[in-house]
Amino acid sequence: MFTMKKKLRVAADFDGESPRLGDAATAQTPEFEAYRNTLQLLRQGAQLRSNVPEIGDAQFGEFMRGIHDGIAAPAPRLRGLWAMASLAAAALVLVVSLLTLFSSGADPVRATEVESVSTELEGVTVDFYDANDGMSTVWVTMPESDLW
Amino acid sequence: MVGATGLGALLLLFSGLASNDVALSLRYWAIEAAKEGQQPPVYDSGAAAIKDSLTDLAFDTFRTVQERQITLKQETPFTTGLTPNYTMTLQLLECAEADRARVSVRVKIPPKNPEDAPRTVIETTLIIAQGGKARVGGLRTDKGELVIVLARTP
Repeated sequence: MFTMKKKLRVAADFDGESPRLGDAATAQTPEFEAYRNTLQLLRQGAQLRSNVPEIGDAQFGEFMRGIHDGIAAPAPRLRGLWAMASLAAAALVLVVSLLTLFSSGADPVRATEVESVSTELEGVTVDFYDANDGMSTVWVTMPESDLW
Repeated sequence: MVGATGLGALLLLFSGLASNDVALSLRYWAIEAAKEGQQPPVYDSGAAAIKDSLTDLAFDTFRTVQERQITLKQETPFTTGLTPNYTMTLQLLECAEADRARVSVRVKIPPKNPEDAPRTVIETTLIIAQGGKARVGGLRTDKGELVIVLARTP
């Protein structure tokens, strides 16, 4: 059994804190090998982490000056884009306006016609027709009595 | 840039205003047509102006009851009494197209009971082309029938 006590002893030996590695039986076991490999990976990882650049006290002033310069710098200007968008909008409004103003005049002239007819009176009939000469007629046929 | 946009917006605004402020010039004649045995048919001075619009009718005497040049505006009906019995209301419904106008023509007679509302003898919607004419006839009178002729004028 690879107990916690054995693990501590192996770790101490790995870090060079303890000169003895323990008994030989423990050193041969697969658990010992696996644990030792894990310790090695951890050591390598910690070594890599320690290589990350750090800002020292001497560099801190320069670092902060860079931040201040970035904040103070004006945002990139998009004047050209806005000008183009404004020009396009103006052109669109002009085209729509001109179309609205002048589009109605092009339709061909059509003849006069009767769209609907109706009456409220009983006994009254209504006929209508559209003549070729452009005149529409609505003709009411009323009873001779019982109107007034 | 702002100037061009503003100009376009103004044009759009004016075009919208123009379409709402449509007016229609109309001339109407109310003619009493009767059979009095006249040969050839008789037209008074008012009826003579629209003789072409009356010749096909089976009457021989045409007298002008009312003749008027009016300007119809949208949302503003024009009402007139043609005879003691007939009241005509004209209303411009739509004149979006330059050459055609939708006009409502309504003719009413008094109610049999004074408490009731006037009765509609005829209500019709006409689409009148530029320079076009329309007529509404057959409205019975003491001497014959009333014929209303509408002519769109420039």
